[in-house]
Amino acid sequence: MTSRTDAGDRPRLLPVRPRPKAGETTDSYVRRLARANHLKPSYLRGYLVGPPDYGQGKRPRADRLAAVTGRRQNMLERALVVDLARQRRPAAGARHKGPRPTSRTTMPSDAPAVG
Amino acid sequence: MVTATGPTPSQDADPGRQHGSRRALDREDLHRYLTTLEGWREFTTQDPAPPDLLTANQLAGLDDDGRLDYDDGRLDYHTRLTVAATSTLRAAVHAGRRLTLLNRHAISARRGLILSGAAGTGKTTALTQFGKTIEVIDRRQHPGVDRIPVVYVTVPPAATLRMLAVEFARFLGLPVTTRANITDVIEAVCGVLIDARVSVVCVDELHNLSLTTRNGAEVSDTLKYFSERIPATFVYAGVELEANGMFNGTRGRQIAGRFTVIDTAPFPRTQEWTGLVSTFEEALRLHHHQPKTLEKLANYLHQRTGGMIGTLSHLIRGAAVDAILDGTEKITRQSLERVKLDRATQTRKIKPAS
Repeated sequence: MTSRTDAGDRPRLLPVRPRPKAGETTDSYVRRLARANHLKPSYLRGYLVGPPDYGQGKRPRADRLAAVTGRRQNMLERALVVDLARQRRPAAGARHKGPRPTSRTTMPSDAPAVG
Repeated sequence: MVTATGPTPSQDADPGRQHGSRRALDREDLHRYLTTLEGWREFTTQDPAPPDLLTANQLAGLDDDGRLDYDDGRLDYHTRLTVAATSTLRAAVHAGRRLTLLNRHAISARRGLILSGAAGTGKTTALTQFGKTIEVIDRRQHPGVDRIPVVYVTVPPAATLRMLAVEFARFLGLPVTTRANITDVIEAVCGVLIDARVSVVCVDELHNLSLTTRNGAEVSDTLKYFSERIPATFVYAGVELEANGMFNGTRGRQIAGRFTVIDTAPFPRTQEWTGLVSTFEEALRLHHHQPKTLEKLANYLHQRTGGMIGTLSHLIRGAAVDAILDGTEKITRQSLERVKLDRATQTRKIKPAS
């Protein structure tokens, strides 16, 4: 049962979606959103942090807040005092993280053939 | 379950046709989510107009893509065709509306409705059409107000209390994670439904609940708790509930004392049956179909389907889809014969029409 709700955890629209107030903190907006939907604010905040740990104390993710409210992420970021976590997206053409490739040791066999 | 004879291998190989069927299936997918608020709203707001049949000249003027799109639209339409207003459906909608009005000012012991009968007798159709009726009326009375007048959930197989609460939460879009406390989920469901002025709660597949098991009894108690907390009319549907012991024992007697039961049954071979066949036939959008062909085959259709409205609908829709896919554009007795029906119907002893 739980796997059905957690698996592929794609947030759905909440049934009640109050508008964010200009200059409101994200925490205040999440609290209002939770109360409107009869949820505990800490539970909704954890849900907005997302998998794997739905961690408390971490910042809600902007894309998840946008998904549950049906509002555009950039609109939320403009309206709210931004303390949202942005999902990291690799920039186009950016190198993957990992150990830097080491330069190969030049061997005598690499020298141009003489004569 | 109907297994329509599929397209011929040559048609299978045609990518255009595959593309058309695929798109139709993708759109059909939306219908599968009737147990979510978004899917339910789509179901209650959509009333697709039948596609216009093009003349021979207009057809000849279509390029390949145009023809595929045209056939694709008709395939999609025929997969749903129409809802026939049977006497059972009318009785369910009427009784449901009466109860909804009577329950409006009841502060406790609200009465409910149960639709019970064999598979394929139109229980789910009657339940969803009743829900749709209430939703449309509510939207007309309260335009622009964000309300949730109707909830539609199904009881999962071997349901537990938690599974049922999650079904309600899932319909509404309330998040349920592994950390969710079941009491909090139930509180959230009740709170949102009361705020959203829900007036009808439809619970389908109630036969998945067995009052003789502990889990079943807990689910039944939870449904009763919901019905006491939420000021709405509860409508249940399930396969032969009385025979499955739904009204036995203390819990069962309490259900029996509060719910009106409408039994859905196979249709006898009467004028109503002919009328139902005609309703489906008039809804067809096939180029070479001779009007009244199916009406004349009403006896055969009754024998073939055993009077099951669900099976009749599948049979005609299956033959219509075949007629578009194979290009014959008409339904005949031979094309009906090629549509394989569900096992229950196939194995039923065929009685001659009286």
